[in-house]
Amino acid sequence: MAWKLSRRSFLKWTGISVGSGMVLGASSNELRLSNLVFADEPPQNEDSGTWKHTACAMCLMCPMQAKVENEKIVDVRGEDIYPWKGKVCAKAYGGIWGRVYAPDRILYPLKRAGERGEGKFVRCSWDEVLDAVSTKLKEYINAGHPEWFETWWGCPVQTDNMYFIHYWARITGTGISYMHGQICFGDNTAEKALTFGSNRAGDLVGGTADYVNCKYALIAGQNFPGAVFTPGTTCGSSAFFPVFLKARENGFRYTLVDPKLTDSGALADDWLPLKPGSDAALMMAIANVLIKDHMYDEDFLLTYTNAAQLINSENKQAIKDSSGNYMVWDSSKNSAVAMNEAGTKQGDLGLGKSFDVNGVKCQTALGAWAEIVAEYTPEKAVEVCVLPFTADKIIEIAHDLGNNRPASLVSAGFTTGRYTNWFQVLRTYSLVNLLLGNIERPGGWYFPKHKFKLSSGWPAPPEVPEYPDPELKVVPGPWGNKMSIKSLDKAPCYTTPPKYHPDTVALPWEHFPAIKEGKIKALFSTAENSAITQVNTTMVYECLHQLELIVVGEQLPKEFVELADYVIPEASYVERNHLYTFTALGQDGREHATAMMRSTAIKPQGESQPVSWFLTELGKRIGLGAYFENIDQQYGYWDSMLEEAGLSVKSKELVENGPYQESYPMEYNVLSMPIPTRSGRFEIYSNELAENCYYNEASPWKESLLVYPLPLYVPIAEPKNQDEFYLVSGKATWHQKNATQDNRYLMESGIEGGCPYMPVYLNAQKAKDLGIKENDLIELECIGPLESEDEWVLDDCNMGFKDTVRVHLSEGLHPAVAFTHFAAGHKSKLMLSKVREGIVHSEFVPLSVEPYGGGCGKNYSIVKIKRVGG
Amino acid sequence: MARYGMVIDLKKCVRCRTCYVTCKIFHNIPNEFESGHSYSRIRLVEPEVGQYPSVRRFFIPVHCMHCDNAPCVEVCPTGASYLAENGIVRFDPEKCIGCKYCILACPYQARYYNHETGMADKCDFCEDRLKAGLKPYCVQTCIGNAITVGDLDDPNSEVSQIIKTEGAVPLYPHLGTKPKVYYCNIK
Repeated sequence: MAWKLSRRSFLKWTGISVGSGMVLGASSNELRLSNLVFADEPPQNEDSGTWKHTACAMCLMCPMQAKVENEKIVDVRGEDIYPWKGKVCAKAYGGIWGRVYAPDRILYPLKRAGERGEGKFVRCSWDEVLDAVSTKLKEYINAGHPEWFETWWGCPVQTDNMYFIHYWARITGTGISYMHGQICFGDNTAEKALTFGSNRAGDLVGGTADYVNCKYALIAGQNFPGAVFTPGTTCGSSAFFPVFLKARENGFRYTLVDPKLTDSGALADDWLPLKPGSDAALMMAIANVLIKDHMYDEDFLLTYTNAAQLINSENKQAIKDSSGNYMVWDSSKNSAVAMNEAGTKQGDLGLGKSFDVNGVKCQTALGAWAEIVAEYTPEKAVEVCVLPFTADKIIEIAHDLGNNRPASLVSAGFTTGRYTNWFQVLRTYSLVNLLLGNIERPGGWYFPKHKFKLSSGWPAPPEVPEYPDPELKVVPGPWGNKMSIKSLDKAPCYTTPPKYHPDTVALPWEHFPAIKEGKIKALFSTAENSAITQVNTTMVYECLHQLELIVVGEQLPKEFVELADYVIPEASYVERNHLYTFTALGQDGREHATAMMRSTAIKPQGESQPVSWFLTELGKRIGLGAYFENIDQQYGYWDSMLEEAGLSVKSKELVENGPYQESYPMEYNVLSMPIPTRSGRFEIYSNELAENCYYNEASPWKESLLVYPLPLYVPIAEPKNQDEFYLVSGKATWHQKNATQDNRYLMESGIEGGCPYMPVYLNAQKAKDLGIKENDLIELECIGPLESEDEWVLDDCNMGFKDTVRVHLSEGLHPAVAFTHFAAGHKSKLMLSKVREGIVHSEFVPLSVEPYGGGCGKNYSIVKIKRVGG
Repeated sequence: MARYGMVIDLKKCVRCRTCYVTCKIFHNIPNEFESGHSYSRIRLVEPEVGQYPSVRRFFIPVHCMHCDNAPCVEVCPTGASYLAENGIVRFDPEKCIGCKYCILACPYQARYYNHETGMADKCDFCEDRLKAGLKPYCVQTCIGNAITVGDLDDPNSEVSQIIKTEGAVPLYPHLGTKPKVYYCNIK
């Protein structure tokens, strides 16, 4: 089926004459020049066309087939592999017809024609853009500061050849940052690394659990199943849905813990709304019950965790022997001995006990935490979390978890630091999982055993010349990439002691002062929209306006496009090649190790090009062409990675035949890989937090409760008056992020059903108390958290920011909360006007940074609300 | 001759909206930003019931019910709306005069008026695809395989079996329209 629009409609809607210089402007109609095909014929014969193997990118990267007829995509479907089995979701369809073929798709290079931010552009040539950008680059290189030019890249599944852009940064000496990653999942990775080991962090963050055999779960802070990862992958819910449905057939039940009854979370068996930021108190109350009622897995704790590790009862520091080993109590010897690595049951859990080690009174890690959680009775949790239930509810949930262990789990979700205390919140969830002993057990958390591990694929001499600055040290970056140790995102992670955990993916707050100080002067943004996805939009815009040059690569209008000096038309996700591997857990209860190629189903539309082409051309113009121009971005780059991963399949075969899969039974083995924590065990007591942070004289986080080695509930700032709320955001199933914005199919009111996308939600009764009715116009004013009330708030310059929006009243919302859909509202005048009906959430969120884990408090906002109209 | 009906098993519906989007795209139904109106052959009914915190939210995709005693057929002055032998309530665009009586008459609000064409429109069970041995778009693309269309007169057909074993019921049976879209596991 060709994109069809009647000629009559097109002429009615455009109002733009072909050939005018102004092709994109805020004053124009919303329908722009495009590659519209005026087809009056009925849909083509089902047998015509060719199905090509590629991948979606509207939320993540589900493998997808696209049917192409006469060089146009006329249909899509999922690959017929586990777990997709031929299906993809609404976003995949919306992506083709609402993004790839969007009437306002940016198809030509554009040059700013007015003031920055006015959104006025004229069409220009690629040569002009390349000249302008390379001139700037040469200026900075000649000044000895190539790092003044920085690339901000987006989600790895939406960015063109993320490995190449890191290689490009290395060779050119420019900066690079995965800015949005840190407000996506960065501190979650750090917490999982220090509790379970870096080698397990990715799977845990992604929610890789054996749901098909799970009996009961507490699922927190997620739109579950609608906006979660397919377990074992970086693919979206299209393939999780069949796994979820199979789990349900097998008796899986879950309780949604969330201030809001999310759209697909309404499928949950139960809903526990809690006050934002109070999760740790809830988890500690659950731990309290599990410990009191002996519903923990003692063998697991003694064999695989440091629950029995001895710490000084007074100062809570680890006891070590003369060789520096951590210690446990050996009851048979009535003395402390060196703690073994995981795999041998060892020690005494020591609940309620103390031990004398050479005259020092000691307790076990679990014993110390049990003392802390003893205060968090179910009754206290009801009070702290402002739960609309009695304590019996918490006891019931704890017993459900305990009775079903190890086929039960608690999950805090993927998304990162919502509040400054989020690192400790994540730690409490992790420790409840450890108490349940659900790691590598049927129905619990699982780490696929068969993976195709990709390197970064950087070409090396003699394929390319010797690298400039050969002594430059590179360190691991996000998603298997490599980055200079001197980069803004990495330098603070390699101090002694590290200021931030090395597994954080970016440190956004380092970049904004750098811009203000002139240490970043030009920016290239691809597949991300940091203009409004970073918190504290006021601060971000101030910084962005200071830049000498902003270049944005995109397909559709958005805020960052509006701020750009040059906009380059990027090839869409079905117009370029990229290799991915993952191991999905299928609805058949097996592992499916997969190698797949996103491939060029249709040629890049208009004059669009992949980002790798743009960077290669830039590289040539600054005299570094030898490093880039001979790289085969279609196949060669990926073949070298496949070979290094030990696969004999070639990228061209993946393009022509579809994904390569190997299927294996699940193997539950806790020690399928080592546990690279300091103790060699899963850590109840985090030795890393203790030694790097809390007790370290040189650490800036010394004695901060947010890095206490045992998880704590640390309160956050609160609304004080009846008309004050936490403003939180969450994702809808059909509309989730940068890629789904400005989409005609995914933003219709009809698709919303009973969950309107643009209004701010309030609890119905609370609204009534404030005299607010359904669809009233309300004003939100950002009033907190203030720097003065939370030491981790670094910049509250957006205090006083106000905006108005329509309200939707819901019974499915905690009274303390005002809710907005993530990335619903926009301020760009170039986008569909509907987006301006919503608020820009980040405008209301001050910049806060939690110590060590580096979460940016993306939900940490307090607003005052009043009715301003009917 | 088959008598077509549909059953939607809401236990398998994950509320992904794929049916909604694919129906719009493949039937070339103008989207809201082109037309200024939100047209759809599938209406997503998602009521919230109860009081905080005891709240449930249902999700019911409402199609044309292809009623055997369809009010839209009864009120249509030109015969543009008629019940075919195969049980599908058909719409003949050649005869439609855009009077909107059918839209008002339908108790399921399953029809919409297309301001561009000046005519009504509604779900037709993708009859062209059925005739070609294919599944309707919503059935084909539903990730949970929640939707089944088939012959209600064949007790062994999948649709009949599901209706029987799951105790599926139509909406508003008391109105006497004899709808042929059934729902089970409403939750």
